Amino acid sequence: MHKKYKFKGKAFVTYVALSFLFVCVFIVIIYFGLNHTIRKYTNIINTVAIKESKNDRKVKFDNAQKKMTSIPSYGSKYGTIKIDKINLDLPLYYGDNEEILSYGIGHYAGSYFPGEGGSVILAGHNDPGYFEKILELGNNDKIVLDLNYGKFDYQIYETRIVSENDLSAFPIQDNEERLILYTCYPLGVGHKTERFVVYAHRVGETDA
Amino acid sequence: MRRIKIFTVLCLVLSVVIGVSSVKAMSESQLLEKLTATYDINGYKFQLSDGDRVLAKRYLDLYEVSSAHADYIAGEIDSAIKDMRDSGIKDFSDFSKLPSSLKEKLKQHVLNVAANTSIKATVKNGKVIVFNPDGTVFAEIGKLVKNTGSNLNIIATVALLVTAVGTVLIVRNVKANA
Repeated sequence: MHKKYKFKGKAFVTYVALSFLFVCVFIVIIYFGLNHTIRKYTNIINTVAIKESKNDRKVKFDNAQKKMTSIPSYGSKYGTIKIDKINLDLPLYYGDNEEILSYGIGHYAGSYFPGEGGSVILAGHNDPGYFEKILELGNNDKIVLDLNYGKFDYQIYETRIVSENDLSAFPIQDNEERLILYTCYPLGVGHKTERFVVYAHRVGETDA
Repeated sequence: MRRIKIFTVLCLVLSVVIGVSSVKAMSESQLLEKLTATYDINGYKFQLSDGDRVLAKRYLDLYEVSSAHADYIAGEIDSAIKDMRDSGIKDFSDFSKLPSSLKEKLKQHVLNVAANTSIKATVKNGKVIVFNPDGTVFAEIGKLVKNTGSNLNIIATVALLVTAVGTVLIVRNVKANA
């Protein structure tokens, strides 16, 4: 006959506590340590169109006309976004589908390019290492877009939390160069119905 | 007799030439107007989003579309609007909720344009993908605000499964050592 095991009170508590600790440690390791790596390699397997490190199209900007004469192909990297205050330095891709956003920051193709004098809309996941820390940004903080065709400096003038359906928070206009960054709010896993939005004006006369 | 024949043929050719040239060919700017116009479809005001307008304008700025192709695209737009009107549907705000027969018809218009003009496009997973002339992707047409929540659902699930297995192993060891 099988001898039936009986949990003794102290042992039970110990092993439940150990299991709980094990779960927590594992999740923390995955979340903070391997998040970027796992995501990167998972996406390399699924990648169809993304070219992570090179852009096979020449990106050209007409300074006189203030418009692009040749644009990057959708899904290709064409620069970096840098925000010193939160130690952020991430690749910037043209396009913002799910696959692109797993690599870095995505530029909504229906918005304007930096230098064209309109709204530039950039999206990023709210994960550590991505746009998680833009929640710490405030007025007058600086953002730099270092692109294939020039360097563009912006200064934040407003941050807001908006509903994901509030398209008025993401105006597409060509009257004024405005950089709009957004990420899901609040932080955490799962679908979020709000967005944390950062608005910045272009400052200085950085060459394009 | 021979002269008459030649004369007849000449008249015929001339009438065709005159006829063709009298048809007003659509220019790129007219095509842009057509693309960005607001259409009343069964009471629903239908128009491209601001972002899609930027994309349409950008494409026409960067690449040349011949008048013949512009005419063809305009014809497909008219046919698509007719299909939408004929469907009797009054809300086109969500493409995924349209009947599959209408979705197929609209998809076919995109494919017709791709097959018969210099604009190359396809429909994949309900999204229209437009290509640059060199074959690289110009843009995926999609909604403006994306889901940028932590996309670690799968990783979290795997982590939980692994830890569940770990927990079972611990409990088994406890039993074995008891």
